[in-house]
Amino acid sequence: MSILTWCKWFIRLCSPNSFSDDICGDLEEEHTTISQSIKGKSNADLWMIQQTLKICIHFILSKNNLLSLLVSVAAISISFTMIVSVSWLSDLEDASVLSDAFWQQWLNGSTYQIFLEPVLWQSAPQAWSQPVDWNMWFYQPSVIYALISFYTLYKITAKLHLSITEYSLVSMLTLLIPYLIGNALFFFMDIKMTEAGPIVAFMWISTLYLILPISYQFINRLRMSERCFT
Amino acid sequence: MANKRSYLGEFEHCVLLSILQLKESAYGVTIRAQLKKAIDRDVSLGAIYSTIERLENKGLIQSKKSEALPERGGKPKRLVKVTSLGQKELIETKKRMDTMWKNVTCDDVY
Repeated sequence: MSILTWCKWFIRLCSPNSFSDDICGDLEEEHTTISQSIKGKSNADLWMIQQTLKICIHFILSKNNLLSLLVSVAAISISFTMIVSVSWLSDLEDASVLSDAFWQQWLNGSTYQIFLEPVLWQSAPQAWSQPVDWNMWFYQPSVIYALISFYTLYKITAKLHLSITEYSLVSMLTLLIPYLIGNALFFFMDIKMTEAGPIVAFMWISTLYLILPISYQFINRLRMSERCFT
Repeated sequence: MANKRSYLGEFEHCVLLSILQLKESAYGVTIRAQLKKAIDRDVSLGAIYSTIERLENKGLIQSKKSEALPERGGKPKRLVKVTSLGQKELIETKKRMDTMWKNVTCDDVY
């Protein structure tokens, strides 16, 4: 394959379908002009590579692509952290590996502190080697909340024609509601350690069920919206 | 209440003026060459086509395809021209710029 063909292939890969043909045609025209001039074919090929890099960088680093990348990385990282934490906590036999101060914060609703505990990340690989208890990942209240909220979000979006900004705000609220409910329970009620498990499970597993589908929908909407944030 | 009206960006302004200057022969290659020649600005075709798409969505320009050409690998040119809305927007932008520059000289900038 010639350099021209490779460059056109890269441009088609990186640029929107609506004008990738126009760009390829323009580049080929300029490439032909330079090849036929005194500069020659090798200079034309070099010029073509430079232009292809410029064009691909322009589209890869576009606002929508960067935002999609950021949302994907955030959603995958949060899901991974939650899966590791839930697995590790479910296999935790000796609660004393975590300090009393940590458990006090836990009962105050600051459950996210577990993500910052070095002991979690040090011993997480061992937890992964244990057989997986799939029932643990099926928590009924979270399933009900996730299904109802996802359906409601879908209906609201279709009926009200929400913009990307409005959709992201509603999605964030949907993801945060279980966490806010859990925090409110910890704050207003005297929750004992033995009662904390189901509340934390609702806070985390609901978010875990919803974060990937909501992020996927957000990225899809972002890609469909050509004039996002303009 | 937020002002929802969209204004021309600096690059959109330059692209619209280039299209006006090029008349019937405005498309990616010539717009790029015009920007380089007129204001020594070397931009990628990606930036030009993103702007063309945005301006077309705003109704400020319209495009049509030429016939397929062998020197373009059998692809047509996407010829663009400024619409009456685009002309109106350019005139309003110029008026706004002139007003802002009124009583400001280059010496005042430094």
